[in-house]
Amino acid sequence: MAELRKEEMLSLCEKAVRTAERSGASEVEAYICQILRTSVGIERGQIVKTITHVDQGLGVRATYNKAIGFAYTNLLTEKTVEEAASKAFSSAKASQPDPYWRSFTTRKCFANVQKTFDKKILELSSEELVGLATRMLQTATEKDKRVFVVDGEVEASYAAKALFNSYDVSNYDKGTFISCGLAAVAREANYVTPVCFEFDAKRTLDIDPEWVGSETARLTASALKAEPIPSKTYTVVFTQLAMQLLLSYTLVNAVKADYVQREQSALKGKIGEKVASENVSIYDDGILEGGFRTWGFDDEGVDRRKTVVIEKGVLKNFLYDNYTAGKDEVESTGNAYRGGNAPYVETPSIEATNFQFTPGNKSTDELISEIDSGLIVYFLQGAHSSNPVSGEFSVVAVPSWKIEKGEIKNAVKGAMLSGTVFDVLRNVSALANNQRQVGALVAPWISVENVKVIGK
Amino acid sequence: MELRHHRREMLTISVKDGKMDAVNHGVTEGACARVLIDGSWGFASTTNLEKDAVMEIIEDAASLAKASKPMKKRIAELTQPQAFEDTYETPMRRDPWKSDKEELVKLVIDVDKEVRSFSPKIVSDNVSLRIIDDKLNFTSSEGSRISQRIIRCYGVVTVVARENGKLASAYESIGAQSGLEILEETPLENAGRTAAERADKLASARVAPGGEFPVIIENRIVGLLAHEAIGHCAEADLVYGGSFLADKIGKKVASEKVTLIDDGTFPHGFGTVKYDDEGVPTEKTVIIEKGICRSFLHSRETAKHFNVKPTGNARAWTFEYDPIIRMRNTYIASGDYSLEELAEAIKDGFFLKGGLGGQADFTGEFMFGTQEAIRIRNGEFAESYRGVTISGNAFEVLENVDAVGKDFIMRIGMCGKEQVNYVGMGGPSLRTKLLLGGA
Repeated sequence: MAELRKEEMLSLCEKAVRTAERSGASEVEAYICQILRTSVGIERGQIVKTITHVDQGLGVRATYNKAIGFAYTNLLTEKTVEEAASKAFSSAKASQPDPYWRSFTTRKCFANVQKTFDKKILELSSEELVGLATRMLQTATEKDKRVFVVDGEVEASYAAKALFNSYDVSNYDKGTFISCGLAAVAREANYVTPVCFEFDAKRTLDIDPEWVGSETARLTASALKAEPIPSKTYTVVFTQLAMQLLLSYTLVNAVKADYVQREQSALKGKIGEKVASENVSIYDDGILEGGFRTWGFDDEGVDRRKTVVIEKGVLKNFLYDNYTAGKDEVESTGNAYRGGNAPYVETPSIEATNFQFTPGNKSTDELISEIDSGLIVYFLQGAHSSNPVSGEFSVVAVPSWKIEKGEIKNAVKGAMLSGTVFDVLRNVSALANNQRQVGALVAPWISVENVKVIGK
Repeated sequence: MELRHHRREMLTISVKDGKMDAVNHGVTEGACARVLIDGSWGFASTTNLEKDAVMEIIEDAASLAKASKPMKKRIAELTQPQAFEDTYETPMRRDPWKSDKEELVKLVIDVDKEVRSFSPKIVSDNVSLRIIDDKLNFTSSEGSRISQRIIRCYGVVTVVARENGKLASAYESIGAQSGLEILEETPLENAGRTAAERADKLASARVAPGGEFPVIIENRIVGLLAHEAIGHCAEADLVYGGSFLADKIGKKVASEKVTLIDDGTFPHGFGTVKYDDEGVPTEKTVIIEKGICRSFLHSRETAKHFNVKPTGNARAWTFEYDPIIRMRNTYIASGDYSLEELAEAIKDGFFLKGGLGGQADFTGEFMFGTQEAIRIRNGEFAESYRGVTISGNAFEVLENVDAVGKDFIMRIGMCGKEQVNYVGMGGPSLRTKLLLGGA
């Protein structure tokens, strides 16, 4: 299916806005997006399917006496768009006023962003994607016979979004994304390793499927011969995948203004206080060049920007959307986000964009060489059960490897980590220089002292 | 070749901290084609329901199937087709679309009010109610014509309480495949009260100690264990990949007290459908019978590979997804112990309550969060702690089950395996040993 043009998208938005306005809505906002996605699926060591998705739709928010209603449709005809607009208005009428409601955004701004769109990704044929998947899979299977690929995917996608509201805020942006990843286990004698995986993803056509194949196989094979470790506190190196899992259910939520305003953040009232080690500086950079979540405007039309969250250990700012900013009488930081596979069915909520740690200057080898007795953790199971309010976590570190006298040794079996994310941040002792993005997190390997490990 | 059409209408009403958060009402609709050519799958979907556009996705799916063919070593084959012409609709007494939106809004507001007035410690809450109406049409080149309408209603309450700067949260849900009568059978305000009570109590509680303990796992979370840690290992696509159960048919994999079932026909189950998304009728599949592994969960493709009948486990989230093997309603069958009898044999252990979602891989290694841990000393329930994460190998945990309760319940759940889907999870409380990741 062809891409929707900017004019088509904006005109459907305007149609929805004017329809609800005519029904009697106080103010209206319409958001439209189109996502085209082609993926090649790998299962059980083979390419098994090729899939295309087309997802497009429009979501309308209408207010009536400060009560808000929302409706959406994925059929983009004049009639269905008008119906959605009427439903949004009738939902607003069925709802109750929100005394804190200020208005939809009136800022007419757009941030300049770089390396977020690559025509070459849009033009990739399904045969070319199958080719990338083949190269990745072959590299992995040829590298080590004990390794068995259980799952994998190559996916190329294109997304365009547009927004129009009653204040004539009118924005459009488009972007591309490509990723490849593999998950594998290794078998030797009667032992099967836990699932290990690796991936590469970019906004431009610049991924390395061979690296993913080879690195997945290397990691998986080295997870064989796992041994339990005794319970005590260790220095733990979190790789980006593990740190992303740990932070996304704890710190990332704790700095969102809605969590703070709703008494669900342990960081409430701590602006200006030291909440992390001096080594820690974190920015939420919505305009990071080539960032996975970089766009010219957020999902309610506010221009994206770079916000300092923690500077040298001191908490500086929370992340806002338009609504929470109104409540605190500050400006939105451009963090409104509509998530999921079909963003138009969601109303905006606050989400981090590119959540970036300032890297250190050590190589990963130097970072490891300084550790006498520790653990390097690649993935965490159960991070989503962390307590978002208190920052308490208790997770399984799998796969993870032991560090002894400055070297990575055998894999570790069944180790759990527990503590609070704020202790982790206070105990950050070093950051490497291998910056990489995983989900929202942009970070290097991070070394943390005194992490409680429960072994056997 | 299969062609599916899917229309989903969804209404969500949500109140946060006494304030309306959302009244969202929307429709998504589309069609998809899945084509098998010489053992390769191609899949394409569209939201354009004009005849030409539907013809186009069939052609797209065919050309995608051809694109991935040169790489194939294993060739997908299907079990012999059975064609069905049938319709099915969720049995219900109160059609949710015949009720007044404003009335439902008021119900959610009232529950929120009750939750917030429960205790001064409660600082925040969220009460939501959702109605999802799925209309599914399936047709295949093998002659099937199936129409199903599945209606689900569910409500969720989350509560945060604070005492001396310490915060605790609790979560409860109700729901079923049903009309709005579910709100009379299991009132949302009861879920609200349970969550409020728990958050209030836990705000001042400490974290339970870590280590291995004898435990009773509450009926409300046994289903989570059955689903996450065991059920996934029985999904034939994961069995292919070498899951723990791969070579275990006919072998002992759990204590003889344990019978574990995945049932696509469970009345009002959140995962109940009459036919799966390959047009196969669902059934009650016994995975483990008195400790012995009996069956896996199959699609038509895996059933052919294993030379068995398909079990009706191929499900897709929406028209945008191809069907993959999913559980339906997964549960451990009832035993005959009361809760007190389960506790009797425990000298020092815990009663684990309230689930927080879990994770597992197909070797049976799992973890999931619990909301509350009540100490058991010499068979008596004692003080409460904040919940801990529990982990281990599920088959070891099942091997250690030495008593199964009679307090069976079926709960609602969401499972995220590549694509999300609604499932039921159930069981009675049971006694075993576990690693607690506490303080």
